[in-house]
Amino acid sequence: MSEDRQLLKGLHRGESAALRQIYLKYKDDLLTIARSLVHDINTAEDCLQDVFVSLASDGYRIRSNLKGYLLSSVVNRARDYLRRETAQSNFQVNMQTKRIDATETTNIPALDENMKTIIRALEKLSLEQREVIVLHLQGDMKFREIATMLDMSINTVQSRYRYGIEKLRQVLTKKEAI
Amino acid sequence: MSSEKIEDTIRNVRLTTSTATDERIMMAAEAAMTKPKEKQPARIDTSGQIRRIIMNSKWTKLATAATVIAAIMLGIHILTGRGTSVTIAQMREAMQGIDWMQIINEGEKKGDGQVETDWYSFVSKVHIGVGNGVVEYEDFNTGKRLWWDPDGSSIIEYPIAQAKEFASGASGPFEMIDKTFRIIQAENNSEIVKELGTYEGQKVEVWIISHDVKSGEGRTLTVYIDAYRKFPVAATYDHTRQDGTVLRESNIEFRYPETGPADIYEAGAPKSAQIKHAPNP
Repeated sequence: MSEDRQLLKGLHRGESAALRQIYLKYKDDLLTIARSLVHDINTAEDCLQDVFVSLASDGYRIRSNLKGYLLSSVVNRARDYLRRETAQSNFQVNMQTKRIDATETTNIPALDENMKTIIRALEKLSLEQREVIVLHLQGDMKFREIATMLDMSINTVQSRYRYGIEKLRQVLTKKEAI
Repeated sequence: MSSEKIEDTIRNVRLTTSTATDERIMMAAEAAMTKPKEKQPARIDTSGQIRRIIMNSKWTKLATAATVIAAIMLGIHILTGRGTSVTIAQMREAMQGIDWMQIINEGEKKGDGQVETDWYSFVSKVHIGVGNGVVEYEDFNTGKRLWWDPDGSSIIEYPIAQAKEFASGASGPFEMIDKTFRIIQAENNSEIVKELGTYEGQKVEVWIISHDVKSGEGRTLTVYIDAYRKFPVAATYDHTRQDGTVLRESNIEFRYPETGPADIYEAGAPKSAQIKHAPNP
């Protein structure tokens, strides 16, 4: 927390070194979360770029909780991208999906098959369930923090999480059976 | 596959950016940083732009959470400190009749010029926040919110969001303190320690509550209560790291002035700034 405060102070002073340090500290976590929310690594990287461009131009307004700002920002970007994607034609969406599969195998060699399977299974969930699961498990946020961020009750957050995990379990059990 | 294994697998997914991606993003971000800031009104969604001191040090978050779950907690979780002469009932009584409360947060280091100040009028339902040159004036009776940002040229008037409650739903200074302790205690199963002491030469009772101290993310809230008037006079918020070192995150002072700023200009906005209505989003 204290390190983040120092980084924020640097950011308020317009120091690009502070911006770079923030980027290095959070980029992988944010990319992982973005990829779990959107459907491909390229879009996830676009989200990441939007988050840091926004931080660079508006960061002087942030007074505390840098991590919370970044997580909230990446979730909002992911929502925007998905909204735009939904507006595209089915044809375009199908093409996009094919491109994603090709990209994943070349750009994410570090992920084992198990992880890839789970990431694909995450796509079967509603965005609302995905957000809660990803923020809790990958963003290391408590349910009450997620509730505050998403402006909903902690009960809603917990039930979305529970139903989401259960649905994942069902999807993966079916896959194993096949 | 079990739920636990699914959770572990999701938790362990770790992607990393390529060097080319890092260069591209940093180039774009640095270009945005050096771009002159446009003189424009603050955005309507300003949650997080002014951070109340209490809230900075998690007080607000806790108080906000409290409004949601207080109904569940009330009557179940009772303050359990021992050996104290100041009771919750006494503090509640002492604080009845208090209108204005001023909260001054000097952050991690006193005297470094980084100060955020908030005023709450529990009678008028007015909140004023001043920090980093920004002045916010909220009147919950009229539902109007005025915002002065030194990067803009005007004061912008917005409606207060319907869901937003004055002082996060607290009805007075006592309730803000009380809820904070209740929530920390309830969520972390923490014990409240109360002892006699002095604060800047003044005889006080010290209320202390800690949580997660062994995890490296520990926080300790200490509130100093005037032993005679029963008012909270100061508080600190400390972070205990895993190696045992303690970092001060907030130095907070509570004051109870007879009155507060009458309007946004008295709170620090320049007299020359005109009030303009926010454009429709």
